[in-house]
Amino acid sequence: MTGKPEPPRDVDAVVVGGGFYGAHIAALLARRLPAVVLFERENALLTRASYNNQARVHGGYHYPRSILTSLRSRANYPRFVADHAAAIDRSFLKLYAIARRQSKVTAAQFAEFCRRIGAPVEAAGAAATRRFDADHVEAVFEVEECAFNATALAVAAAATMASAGVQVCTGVAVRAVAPGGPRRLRIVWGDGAGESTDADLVVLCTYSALNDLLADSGLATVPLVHELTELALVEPPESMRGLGVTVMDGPFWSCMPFPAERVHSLSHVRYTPHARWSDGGDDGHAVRGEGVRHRLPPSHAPHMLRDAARYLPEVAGARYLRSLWEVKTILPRSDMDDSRPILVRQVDGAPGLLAVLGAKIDNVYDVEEELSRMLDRGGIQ
Amino acid sequence: MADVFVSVVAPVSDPGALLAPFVADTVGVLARAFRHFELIIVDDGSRAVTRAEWDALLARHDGVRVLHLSREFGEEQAIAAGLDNAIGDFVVTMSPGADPPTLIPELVRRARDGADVVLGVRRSRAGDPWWLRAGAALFYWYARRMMRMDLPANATHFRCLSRQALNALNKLRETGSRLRVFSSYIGYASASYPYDAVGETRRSRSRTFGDALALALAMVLDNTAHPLRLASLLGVAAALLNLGYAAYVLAVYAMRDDVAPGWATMSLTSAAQFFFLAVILAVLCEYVGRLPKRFGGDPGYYVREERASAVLLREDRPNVVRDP
Repeated sequence: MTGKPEPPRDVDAVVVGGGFYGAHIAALLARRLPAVVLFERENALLTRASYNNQARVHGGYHYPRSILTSLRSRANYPRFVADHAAAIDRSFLKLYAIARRQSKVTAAQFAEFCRRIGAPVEAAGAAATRRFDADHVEAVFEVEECAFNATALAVAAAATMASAGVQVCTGVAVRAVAPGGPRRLRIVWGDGAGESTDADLVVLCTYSALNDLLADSGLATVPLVHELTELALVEPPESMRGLGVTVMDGPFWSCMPFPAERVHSLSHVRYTPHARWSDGGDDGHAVRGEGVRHRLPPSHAPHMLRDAARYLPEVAGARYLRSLWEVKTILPRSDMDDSRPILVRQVDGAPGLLAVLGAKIDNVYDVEEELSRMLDRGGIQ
Repeated sequence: MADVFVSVVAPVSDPGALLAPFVADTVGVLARAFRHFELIIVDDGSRAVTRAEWDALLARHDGVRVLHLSREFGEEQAIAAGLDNAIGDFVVTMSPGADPPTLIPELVRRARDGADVVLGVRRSRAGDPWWLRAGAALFYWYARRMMRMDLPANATHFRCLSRQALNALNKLRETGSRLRVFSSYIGYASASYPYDAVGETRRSRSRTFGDALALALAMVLDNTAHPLRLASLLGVAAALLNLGYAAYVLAVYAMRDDVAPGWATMSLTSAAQFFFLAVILAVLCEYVGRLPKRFGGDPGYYVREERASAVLLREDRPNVVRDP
């Protein structure tokens, strides 16, 4: 940590985890509290799950089986696009294709669903429809959705931290959080023992590592479901440069621009998840996501490319570059209905400690509202 | 290790103790032979296999997919479902228990050598009851001589399709009983691969006389209008006979004096009626026979390969249009 300022030993609030959610929450806290510090284990902000994802700004089209998630996405979409205009890429044609076989929605149901949530949708023109294999695709719709540039988001987040007065400590791993000390909570960090920071309020935004930290702190864990996911980055054929495609709704796939690297991402419902495990609650805590990330299985990119080419033949011209691997974490209940709720939970036995589990990057406003409400009601108990 | 993606489609219906060793053997063979593979088990309405058993199977082996059909649709439809879902460059279909997984690499190698369709052919039908062997012989003879379809005798479900052949097959929506004959129908290069089916558990499901007859009928009726053509020929023959009979009646009436009163009229009337009936039936048969061709939705032809002339554009050719 040479050249970097030492983390302060006494602050009002600490945010653990410098992803998109952590940065936003730190900025929100800094508007109310004078001394706020953000700890991030990696060497920069927004380098993990905030970067290793599809970079899709969800317009609500994705969840025809969870109206609530869709409505929230729909409501947050214009706000996210306006707030992060510099990082938004909307320069491509966005098509949603409904698979003819094994889709959980029909084309008519999808159109009706979009109408109900107020999402713009229209039947794609003949030229766009002809690109798909009519034997595999029932109908093609043109929708309004966009992608974000994760690198631009990280730059913006760093600027926001500076202007909000949040002290950012990157490359610092938090080991444990426990009640005690001059303030309500003591955060132990760094490699050796004994280095710590005291604070009245601590928000954990460590996503897949949430239970790791809770277990290491001797606190009650949260029931979570984790998946090791693979997002393939491909060099698209020239014809697909300005095209983002999603095939719905079931074991299908999506190929869309990944603006941070000027390539396309390819993900597949069947092949993106490699391993799946649950922890927290009654399941105990045995598997650590970081361990899983260091023993990667063979890539599924060949599978994704071959299946995608059956629906959209021109995908066969894409060239595989590399994969982004990440541990994706969801709440057990969203497993069933495809919804993506966020978790905001006060941790038992540690007053002032709050666990936040984000879902989609554009759902951050829901967390902000919830957190503001809690602070207005007289702080976090 | 071959750098191709191979899909294996295996339909099962209450496979019992057969399932676990079959999956283990097949995945073992595939993992040794190919860089990428998937094994698609199509569960054709099994009731005896529990969810936990499927879970255990999927947790133990990599690259396995299971497609559960909503009820038992029959082996042909189960294979069709598997083919619709396979993503491989080459797709092998097989009957677990009957077809040995160790032969998969050889089957795929023959397909890679240029045959778009490789059909497994059983070396002998020993073990089948006499009526099945006799019926099979009759069927293959009929198919070859009358339907003019060159079905390799004793072809099984053990076959390998290239992605091209499979795409063409998938265009035929009604894959059911066409599956067995499509290779001659879509006209891709095909090859036979004789092999010995495995001993005791040769068939995962035994076929009754009724099943075999129904399958043979479906294959004939789905694939050819030949029986109808036979009927219309019969109709034309009957019409001609009736015409001849009418002439005979007129001749008898003209030449002989001892004709009973009313016989000629009666005979002429019935001859004329049967003549019209036979003609009408023959015409109807011809029209009905054409219906499948018109409404079957078949693409009509298949492009096996597209090639373009390989002459390079001369760079010094001036880009000038003389007559705009």
